[in-house]
Amino acid sequence: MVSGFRTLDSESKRKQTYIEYVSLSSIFPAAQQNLGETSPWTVLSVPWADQKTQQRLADLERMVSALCEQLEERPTTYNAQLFDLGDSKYSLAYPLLVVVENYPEEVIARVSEFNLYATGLSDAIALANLKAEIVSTYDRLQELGADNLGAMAFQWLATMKRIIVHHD
Amino acid sequence: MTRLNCTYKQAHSAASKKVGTGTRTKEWQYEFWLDGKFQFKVSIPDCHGKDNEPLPPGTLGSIRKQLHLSREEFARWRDCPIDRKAYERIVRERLGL
Repeated sequence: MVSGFRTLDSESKRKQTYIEYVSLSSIFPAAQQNLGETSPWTVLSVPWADQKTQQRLADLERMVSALCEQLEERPTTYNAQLFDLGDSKYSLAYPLLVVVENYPEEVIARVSEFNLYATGLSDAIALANLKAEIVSTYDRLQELGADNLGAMAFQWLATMKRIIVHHD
Repeated sequence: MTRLNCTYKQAHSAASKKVGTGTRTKEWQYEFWLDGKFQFKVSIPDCHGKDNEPLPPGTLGSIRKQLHLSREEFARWRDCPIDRKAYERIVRERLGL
């Protein structure tokens, strides 16, 4: 994982190894490419590194690995608006703001206000699934009735009633 | 911050024990009832033969949020330490019940 080092020329500092960048290629492949062959950075092994240095390298490797995992879990996010619920029985009194999160292997669409989410392989599928999720939740809350709802669920139903128009 | 891990099987197993009975629509819906009132639901995708595969990070994070748990609490919820009663206590605290 640790792939780049730079050593100083002077003899007195020959054994002093400076870690200039760590696993750069795994995080920023373009940067690695830009450095090219003229780069002062050279990939070296460090057989003379003492135990403390090796330990620090291992620590750095773990940190970079953790950072990569965090990046994988961090989606690109944007807001979208729903103009209908994909069901002829219902329409929206006004557009509903939703959050779309793009992960490498899935897309999540969510309405934080109702604590609902839906997944899909594409944005369109996730949004379509979210519409179905909103409709099924609305139907279920209506079916249960206000008397059977806790405070938060009651609020969801009240808000949904303002937003969702039911066509009989 | 450690990465969350949970298989489909673990999520369904924990949800059925600690949230409530699941019903299947497109996904599995687990309803959490407390004091005779419906509080919220948790959606977990069907296994489709992927019992031991890990849930994708986005789905996992969404489930955790629906459960009103922190990352650390979720790890304990997935395993044994947080049982139904302990989970009820957490929900009561979070929702001010």
